[in-house]
Amino acid sequence: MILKRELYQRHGYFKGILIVLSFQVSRLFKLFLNIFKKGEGRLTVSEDQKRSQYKGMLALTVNKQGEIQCTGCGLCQAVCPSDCIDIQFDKKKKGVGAFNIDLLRCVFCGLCEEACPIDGIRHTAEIPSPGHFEQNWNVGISTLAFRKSLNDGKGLLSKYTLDPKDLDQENEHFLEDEGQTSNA
Amino acid sequence: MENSRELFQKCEDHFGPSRFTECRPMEWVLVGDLGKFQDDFSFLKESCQFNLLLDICGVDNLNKKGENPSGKRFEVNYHLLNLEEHVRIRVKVYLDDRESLLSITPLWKGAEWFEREAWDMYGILFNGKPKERILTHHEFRGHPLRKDFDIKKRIPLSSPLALAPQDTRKLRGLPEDGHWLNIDPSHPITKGALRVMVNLEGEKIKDVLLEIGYLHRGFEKLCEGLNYNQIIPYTDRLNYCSAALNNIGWCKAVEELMEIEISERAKALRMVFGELARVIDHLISLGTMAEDLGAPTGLWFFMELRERISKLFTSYCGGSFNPSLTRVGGMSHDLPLGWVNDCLNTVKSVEHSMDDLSKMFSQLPWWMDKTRVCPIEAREAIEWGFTGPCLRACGINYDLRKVSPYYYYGDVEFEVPLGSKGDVYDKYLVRMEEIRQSLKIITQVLDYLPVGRLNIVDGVSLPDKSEVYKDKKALDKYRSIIRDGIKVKPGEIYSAIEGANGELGFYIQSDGGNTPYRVKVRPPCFPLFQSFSEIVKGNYLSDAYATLVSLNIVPGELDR
Repeated sequence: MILKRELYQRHGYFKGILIVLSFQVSRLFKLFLNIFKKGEGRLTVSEDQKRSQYKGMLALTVNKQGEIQCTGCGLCQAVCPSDCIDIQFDKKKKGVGAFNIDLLRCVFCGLCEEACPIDGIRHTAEIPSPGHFEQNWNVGISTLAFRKSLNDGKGLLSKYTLDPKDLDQENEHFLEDEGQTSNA
Repeated sequence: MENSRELFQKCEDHFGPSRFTECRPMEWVLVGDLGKFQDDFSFLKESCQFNLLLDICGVDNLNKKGENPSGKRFEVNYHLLNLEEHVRIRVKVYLDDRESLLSITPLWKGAEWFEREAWDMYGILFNGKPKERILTHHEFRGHPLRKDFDIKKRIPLSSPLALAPQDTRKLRGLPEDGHWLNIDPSHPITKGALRVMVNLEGEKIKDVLLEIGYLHRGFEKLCEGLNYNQIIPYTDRLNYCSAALNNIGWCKAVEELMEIEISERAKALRMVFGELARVIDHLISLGTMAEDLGAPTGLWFFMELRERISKLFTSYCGGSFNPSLTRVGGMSHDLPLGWVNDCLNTVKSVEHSMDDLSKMFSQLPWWMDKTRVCPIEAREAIEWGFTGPCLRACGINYDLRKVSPYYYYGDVEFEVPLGSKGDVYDKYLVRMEEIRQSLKIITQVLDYLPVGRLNIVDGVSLPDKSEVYKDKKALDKYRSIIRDGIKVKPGEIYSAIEGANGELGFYIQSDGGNTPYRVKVRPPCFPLFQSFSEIVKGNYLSDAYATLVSLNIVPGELDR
């Protein structure tokens, strides 16, 4: 398709002003109409869904007992492209000992969220601002899981709740070779 | 097809089957000979019509696993394109540390910056002399992409490049008189940090010097230490106006190298998001053009449209500027419920607004006066290595989506808008029309969106999480994919998609590990910006501003 220049004929300044004015007025009118318009009843993406997709500040989730969901397997550490996650596995506790994230290195890509098989780490809708954490950007477990903005300090509930009572033989493999990656 | 066979036969007869092979359909390889260097290239250009120089890319074979057929340390790959038969050829030249190549700038003007980059990154000599540095600082020592370069070494850099430095002037034979003006690294007309130094005589431009590299983050070096999936977030930062297209280009290149076929749904979704990203890129480009030429409200109108589309990205993957939405073997996740309706509504409203905007701008007398400047001839454009909207504005019908369709571009209906003179106004018209065509493609794809599972490639895509929770085998597979990354068999590929600015190519060399051995991006901006100094010579300063914004230079992609 060759764009023909003759199609775009010149017009005078006065006509130009009229065109722009009509455009503006129609736009205002439409905006005004939109106030009274109700939803058309079509299926659209819900606000909750949108919020769940946001790639804001990272948070660790908790299980039903209010304990950290993370088992310290180190998959998020292995997949992180900017190398901002640091996990220490606690062998006595058989769980995660220390979990530090350097938020200044984080590129907010969402790969760790995708890598976690038990929904232990998640991006929240909270957007980091300069005032967060009193400028200590290398944050630990307590801030990641139990900061005030997450359910008033109770923490976010994980989608896959890993309850020790519910844990039967089949699910035990989650606790088997944890710490392999973080020690390697 | 027959013509390309004939062409292949012609090349084979000339070079002999030992040097000339076909590695993939429409991708040929010629092993160059240092002795017959000039003859080979002039034969390719003049007799075989390989007119467009896409890329020059150095490789260091120092730590490469597997055998090295030549036994020499460096190789340089020249990528050439035949615009009529849509064939790409890769000319491989092997050379040692002290050997030097002949410069091909007499044949292609656009080769100059690529050769400077090869010198800067690998220390490859052209015509026996070192070239000027381009991406790194002028006081930098060493060649950073060599495998034995110590990346932890700090090099103190003291002074900025002087305004039109003396040695550069002498080197290029520039005049001493005239008034030199700095268009600074942080000028509002640039979308990032560029430096343009102009020599003025009155209000006319006599000479232009360009300095780039302010945003050089070593993307290619970074890739050599990361898994194939980990690179995806970094490709977002190349052309940040259309990040989704970079994701798609990268994943397509890796998938072609691995020879895997992704699901139909993933292909369709990639088309949709790619076109949305193209629309965003064009909107930003047109908006800033309006702002810089004296219509700041234009920027708001265009940005408002962009905002509507980036909401679609946010509701799909949570990031509007850095979406990282593809994965090798598919997409990051499936569409949320109701997204298609949202998208169709947005497309409808944007299409409507585009009509209004084109009514506003295309016929404005002062807009025409300001934009009908700095025309480019089609022959010149090819010599510089133009691709994309800027090439089409010169009247050359070349769109990768049309001529060598990937995904389902062959099945959708759209037209390729063409300009006639290649001036700023033509680039504006082409971009306006391309937005409409992209919206047309999106509606067609969404009408026939394939159903089924998204990520189906075995051993590459992650198993479903609910499956992982129950099954130990699935968990092991899941772990090994995440922990060790994807293994890619040894080989090399140059794969290109039609980016928003032109042909966005990724050259990947793999030596069988889980990280690439060498990655080279063919940024569409690079040849475009290189030509800037010739295009604006003899024009007014305000025309230079108009040209700079119309070329749509994005430093993130230019400097990598």
